[in-house]
Amino acid sequence: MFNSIANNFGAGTIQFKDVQENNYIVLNAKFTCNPQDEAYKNADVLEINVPTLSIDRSTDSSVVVRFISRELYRGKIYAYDAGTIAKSWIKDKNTLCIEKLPVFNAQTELIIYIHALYCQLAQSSNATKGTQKTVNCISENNFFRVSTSNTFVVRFKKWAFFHLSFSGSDSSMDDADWDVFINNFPEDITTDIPFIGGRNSKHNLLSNINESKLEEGYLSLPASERNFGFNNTGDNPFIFAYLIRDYETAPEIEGRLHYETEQLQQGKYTFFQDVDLELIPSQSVVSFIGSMGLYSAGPGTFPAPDFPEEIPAFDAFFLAVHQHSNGLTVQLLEIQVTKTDGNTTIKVIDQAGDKNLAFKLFDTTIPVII
Amino acid sequence: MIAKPSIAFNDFAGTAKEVTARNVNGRNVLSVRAKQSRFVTPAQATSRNSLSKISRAYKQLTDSQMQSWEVLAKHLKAASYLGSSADMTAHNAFVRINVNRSLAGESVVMDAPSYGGSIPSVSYSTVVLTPQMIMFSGIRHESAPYKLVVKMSASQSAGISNGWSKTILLASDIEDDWGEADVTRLYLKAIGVEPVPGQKVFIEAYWMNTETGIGGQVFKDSVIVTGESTLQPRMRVTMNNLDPNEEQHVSAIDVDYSTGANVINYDVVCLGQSNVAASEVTLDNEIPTELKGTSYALGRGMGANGSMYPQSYEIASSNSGGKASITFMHRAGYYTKPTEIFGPGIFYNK
Repeated sequence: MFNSIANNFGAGTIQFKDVQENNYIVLNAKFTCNPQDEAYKNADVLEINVPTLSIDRSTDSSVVVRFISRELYRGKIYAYDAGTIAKSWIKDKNTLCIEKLPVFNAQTELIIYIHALYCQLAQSSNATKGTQKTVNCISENNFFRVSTSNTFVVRFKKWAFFHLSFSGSDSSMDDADWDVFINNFPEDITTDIPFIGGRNSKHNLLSNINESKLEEGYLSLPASERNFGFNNTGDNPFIFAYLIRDYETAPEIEGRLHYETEQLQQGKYTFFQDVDLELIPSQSVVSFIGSMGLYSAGPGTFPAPDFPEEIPAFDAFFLAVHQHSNGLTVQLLEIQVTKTDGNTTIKVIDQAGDKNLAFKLFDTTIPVII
Repeated sequence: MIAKPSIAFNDFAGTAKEVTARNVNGRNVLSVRAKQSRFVTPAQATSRNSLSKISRAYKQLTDSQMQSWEVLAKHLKAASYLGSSADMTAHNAFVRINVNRSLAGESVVMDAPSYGGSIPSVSYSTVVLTPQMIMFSGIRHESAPYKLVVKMSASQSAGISNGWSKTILLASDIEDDWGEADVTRLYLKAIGVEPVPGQKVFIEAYWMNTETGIGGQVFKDSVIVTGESTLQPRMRVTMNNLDPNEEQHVSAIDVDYSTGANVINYDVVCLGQSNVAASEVTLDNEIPTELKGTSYALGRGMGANGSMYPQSYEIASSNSGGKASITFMHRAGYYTKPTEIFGPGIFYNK
């Protein structure tokens, strides 16, 4: 996380959440500015001076620019909040730029949301694929509905990509505040996020854009914040964002070897979830975290893709726990990590005679290198 | 001709009728007398016109302006043909700086720019030199106001060790494209012939501050021309990759896979079709298997009335029959034709 140092358009200090790698960065921020400010008027491009970034330039990404527009009609306030996306790029190691759009010149307050990934080109490798995870939106009486094929998350350790495509809601909830639980969505993301809609009837060059909130897996959108006609699903309201997770930066300890993955899979139905393996080569200590839910004797053998070369093949015994209706069982597991022709497998063997591999594992032991 | 006869016919020097003789490193060299063709190329005409115009403009300077150029000239040094540095006059400095500026498309300045600050030095990892392609790669990028000035020679014998006097200016406003600069067209335009495999090309390059016209240290290099390039071009799809025999639904396309991250970078203008909210392109070759798949990116409408409706697009690529297709399918937001899709799009296994 860092604060901006200065800007050329009269905004205050801007706080950023950040993930900075050597060839891309992800930034999240929300701030306001006033197009009537002299500094804003004089700027050709909105520039934010920031502490040194890990990349010195980027391609064009995008940020959402929105303003609040409300009208009183027959005693009721109607929302016609509007906006669009503006191009944004890293100009140099200390400068983030945002396109200044003349369509906003008459406004007195703009709200800018940065949920963007800034990448570089001509890197030493091509793009690689993440893994899509479908999310389910759970709401009271299923009043809130989404396009399931176009609503998903792609999760990484420090950030996630989220796309939600709204497909409709019950009219009975038109005047109610909306709270929706998004199953399988990372619960360590907290942010105000724009909900982009269709053409705005009062500001016809722009789209409807309202502000919703993501917190602990919940999407919240109060009735007062929803534009008149939000439910006109022909407009396909959506959320598109690169979101930063509240990750803890583990200290870099020299020589420590680490393997982490969300899920290993054997066949169609057998999974080893939330794998986190760490091996300290000197003194040969290995710590292993993970869980399985297989109610059969096993053993379970999982391919382990992208396994670090530096971690050697080893055999180790761990203690795991199995919580069941009769109480808690402590289970002895033997885990073998073997390497053949560049492929690594993790084999889990029940050594307790429990005849099942349904456990939670979080243990540290001394491995035998094989 | 001055002749100093000897039994070995040494030491002839000068010109007689159509023959010129000279002694070079102890060897007597005879050649056909060179004649000025009296033909001025358009480039020469432009350059000479510019030079004389700039030179005459110096006389319009005030005394204080001339003094400021005098100060600047002290910082700049001319390399004389004798190989040692010589001081530059105020007039020299005025002409040099303004010629540089005009080559970079900038106007003539009457006030001398301040000299302060060093100009970055040129650094690149490879020069691809084949008859078909002349390209710099791995250029260490410098932001505006710096632009790259490149001079290259025609291909010379590989035995020549010092051919930098034969370099010709290709361009003085080159900007690298993420570390790459393809100067093939510029080379052919300036030199007129393709480089010959096995021969050597001499290169001079420096960064120039286009605001001041001041150039940095000249980087000298020489490269042997090869028959084929071993450089792997970065994986991207542009208009040049589209099948000319197929209907295309974009007016511009630059899909770049070289991000090294979980995103593909898009810069596309989708025109749409009459009956479906999607745009499709067909390439003249297949896409590598690992780069086929699904991606999502943001777009912004380009309505004729100035509307700018944001939308999301699912982008799918596939191979079939030796060709590839990329389809940009509208998924959310108010659909507009045309729409520009720009920025990083998440790339994932569906």
